[in-house]
Amino acid sequence: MTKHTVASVDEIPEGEVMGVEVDGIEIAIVNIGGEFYGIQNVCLHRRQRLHTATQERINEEDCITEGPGVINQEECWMTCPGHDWKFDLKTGENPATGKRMRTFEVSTEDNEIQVEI
Amino acid sequence: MSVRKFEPSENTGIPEEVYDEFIIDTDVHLDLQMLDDLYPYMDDRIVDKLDRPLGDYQFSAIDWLPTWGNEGGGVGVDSNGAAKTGEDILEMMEQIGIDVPLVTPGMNSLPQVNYPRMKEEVCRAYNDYLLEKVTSVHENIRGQAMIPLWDPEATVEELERIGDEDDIAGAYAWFGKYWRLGNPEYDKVYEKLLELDLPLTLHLDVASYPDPSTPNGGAIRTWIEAIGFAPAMHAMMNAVNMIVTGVFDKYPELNVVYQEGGYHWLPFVAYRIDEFYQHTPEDIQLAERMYDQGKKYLDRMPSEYLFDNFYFSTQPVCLPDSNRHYEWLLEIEQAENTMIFATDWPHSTNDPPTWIIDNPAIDEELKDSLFRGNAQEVFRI
Repeated sequence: MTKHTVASVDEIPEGEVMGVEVDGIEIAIVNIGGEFYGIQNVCLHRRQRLHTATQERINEEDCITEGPGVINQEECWMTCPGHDWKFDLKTGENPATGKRMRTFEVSTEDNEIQVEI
Repeated sequence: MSVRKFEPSENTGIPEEVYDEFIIDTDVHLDLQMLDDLYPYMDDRIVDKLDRPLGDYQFSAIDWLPTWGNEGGGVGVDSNGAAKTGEDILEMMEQIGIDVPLVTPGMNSLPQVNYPRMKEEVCRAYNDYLLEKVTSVHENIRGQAMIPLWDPEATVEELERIGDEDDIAGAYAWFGKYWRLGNPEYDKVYEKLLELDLPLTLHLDVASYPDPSTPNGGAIRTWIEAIGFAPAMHAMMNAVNMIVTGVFDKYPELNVVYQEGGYHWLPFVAYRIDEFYQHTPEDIQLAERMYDQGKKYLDRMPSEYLFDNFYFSTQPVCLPDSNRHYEWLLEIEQAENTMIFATDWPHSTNDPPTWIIDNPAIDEELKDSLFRGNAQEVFRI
């Protein structure tokens, strides 16, 4: 396993997500209350990308609810912006089905976010 | 080692191949919350009622929503945005890779409103708004006119008013519980649609959800049942009703497009309707349209109308885990002649075109039919 620096800590505020690609592997890095979690970025359902969960929508101000995806910091999960599939960020598991996305060890050092692959 | 960061709007999962395809999207919704945008196009008497606190209460009194069914906490209608103008639709086209969107309304609670004149006025206002603010922005943006199907006379009147506009590609209504379209009073609608060369598009509406006042509806407990199955039941019943009352014998060129009514039920209905037709065909002659024409039997086997006169939008695509099974389904459902691509953007169940690209069950010929061929055949584009 090798640690790869993918971003600086201040690039991903709490409750936000960033998509990165390390040697062709797409990973969504999510900031949950200052802790960073890594999960495969390509949804196992329809290959939509988790990192677009907080993408600004067309006429965002007119949208009734948050979206397209949701990041829950209290319970450490997020939903895919495609079809709302929910994934535990610690385990990668969809709680309803047990289907699992790959997760990655993420750590910080000297203000840098590092992912182990 | 290479590391790349994605902006939120970058690498959204839409592959380049999508942008290389010419794609007609047959179900792109304008925003649900745009009633007040239509006020300038409405009679003042209607605006006076709508433009007050809770003035739209009958539009929003909905029994079932996905709000408790997923963690988005939303109503599912603006998960990917809220388009109000042609400019917004252009932005959507660029994001998703759509070439020709056939814009549909977002107000799918309209049939339940209790004041016909009010909702007819909403239809007229919507259609005027559609032509003025949406389709006029780009030649590729086309619209489906919202028609007041609860009243065949009013529907014909509205089609006479705007049905021959070049930017209108179809006539949009709903397949919910309020009507069965085999009723002969709809013949005048079918004649007008044929005269205008427009298909009848029937979309899911909130009236498709289970009626809580019925024993079955009262027993339902989940959004899965409400969205997934009750609407499909209405879609099936409407299709069967139209077929066995002779609509397509009288109007063999009439096309009906189902949106969000499901389609994997096609083999079930096809085999079953043929079986029962051969077993008990003798009361078909009593249906008004058949009786009045002195017809005793249908001209063709019932399932032939199902595959020839009906089209089905693909969304929500429900893919089997087995590719082999999907190939079988596509073959049995005669997808090359019956399926038309739709995203249902911006709703939470929307399907971008990605699932068709590189799908091993879909060859180039079928892809051509799904993305454009069948839509070009059925819609006036």
